[in-house]
Amino acid sequence: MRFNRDEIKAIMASAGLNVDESRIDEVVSAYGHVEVILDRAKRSWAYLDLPANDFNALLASSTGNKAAES
Amino acid sequence: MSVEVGRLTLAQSASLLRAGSISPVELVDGYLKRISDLDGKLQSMITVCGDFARAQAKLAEREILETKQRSPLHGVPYTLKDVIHAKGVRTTAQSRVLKDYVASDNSHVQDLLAGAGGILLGKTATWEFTHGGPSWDVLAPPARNPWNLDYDTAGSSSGSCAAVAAGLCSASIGTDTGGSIRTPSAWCGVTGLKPTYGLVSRYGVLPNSFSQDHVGPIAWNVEDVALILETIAGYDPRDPGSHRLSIPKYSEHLNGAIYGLIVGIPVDWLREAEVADEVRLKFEAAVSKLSELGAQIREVKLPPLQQYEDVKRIIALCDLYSIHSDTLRTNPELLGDSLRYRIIAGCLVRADEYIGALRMRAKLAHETQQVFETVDILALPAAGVPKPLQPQPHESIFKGRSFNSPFNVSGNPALAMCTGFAANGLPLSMQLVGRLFSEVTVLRAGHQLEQAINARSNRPALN
Repeated sequence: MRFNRDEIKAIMASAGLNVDESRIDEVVSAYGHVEVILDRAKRSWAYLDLPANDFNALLASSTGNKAAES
Repeated sequence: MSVEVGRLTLAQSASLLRAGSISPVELVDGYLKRISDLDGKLQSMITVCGDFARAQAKLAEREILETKQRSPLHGVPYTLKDVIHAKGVRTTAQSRVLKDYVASDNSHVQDLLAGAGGILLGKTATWEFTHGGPSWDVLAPPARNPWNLDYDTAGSSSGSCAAVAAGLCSASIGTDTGGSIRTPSAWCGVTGLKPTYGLVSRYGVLPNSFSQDHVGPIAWNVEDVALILETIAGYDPRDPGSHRLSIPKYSEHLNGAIYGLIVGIPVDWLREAEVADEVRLKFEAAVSKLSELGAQIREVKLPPLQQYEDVKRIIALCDLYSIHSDTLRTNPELLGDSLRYRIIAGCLVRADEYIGALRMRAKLAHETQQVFETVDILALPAAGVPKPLQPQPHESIFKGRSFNSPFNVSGNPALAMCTGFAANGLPLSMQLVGRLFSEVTVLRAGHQLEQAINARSNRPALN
């Protein structure tokens, strides 16, 4: 695994997820499955490959982001 | 009243209303009685808006008498999946987190349906926040399959599909992030459309995965789906994914010929997903029917199903984690075990892995659209054989490959429709997938095939 149990506990704590030991077991178990998916999906991307998280400034003018404004 | 409300299609209801052979009040009362009689065992409804629906029905009755039907939906009762807002009505997402949450505004689809004169009967069961799986530790137990109450409906538009199949409403609106309209439509033997991304606004709909969520119609047959789609489709500036397009009357294009239509079969996917024999046989029979109708059948090659599935899951995991991170920090016990297990590991996905999934998604979407330069539609199964209702292992969400996720990744419209029934009486299904914004073609092919297959005369025997 990319992270061992203690590292997972530390990452969760830094994310504000203060969970008991049984929940840590839950996350370790779930992450085992997620890691398989991440490994399968991993690719190398070149500097000039198009970014996928593009931003359309025009959209912001019509929709805005009410949550961010409040 | 001489008509059997539970067997009416939306188009038939509209026709009876137009002719004055039935009134909206009779229709609403008929459905409310069916809900009262049958939903105790089906568990398809989370909230029933009885008084509101009766008041709307009286208003519609007056309006139709005075000014005629203003749309085919005028006076027709429908339901909304319980993640879609209707002003003044609870939206729970079947979660204890939102058990008392009342929407202060309408979703865009509710605005359009109400504006067309439709009558909201209530809100339907889902999986918690449209994710997870059938759970018993959430706000309400999961819906049951009307064809056999011991069987699962699939999800997450579970209550919507069960209610339509059982004749508890004329139609319903669901959401689809990885097959959540199409899989339960398949297992409940109804017709469901995941429209092209951007055709139907998601404003006022609780999110699952921002760039993979779709809102779409669920009804008994393709004609009904077309009637709803032409009501709810269209540009909405409040949804950043919404497209400016002119919306055709889909229901007026159903009877065109499909002679010469080029239908692609992704044969590698059929091998990769290990399709059950009963599903495969009905699917092959349906493809033969398409050929008899004049379609040209071709094999096509798409990227492996697993690639779409992996990309869909990584993006959705990060979206879900970000949406629910406050609850995970402050009140994790309010979430059901299944949902919590499936999203909490989102905190461990790295930025490069998430962006990599987004890049891969763009590549897969491009490759999918390239295939649609050689065919008009794709035909493939929609789901496997329905399974008994029981808790699913939490890790099942991370395994397997479905025929649905690719089109949440690519955005193409996909119609799930009944192809017949398995030996145990449960429905089987297939999917027709079109080019972006080619719903006219998809619905026309689906309608023509539906007429040829003739699998729409059976209804579940619930009484």
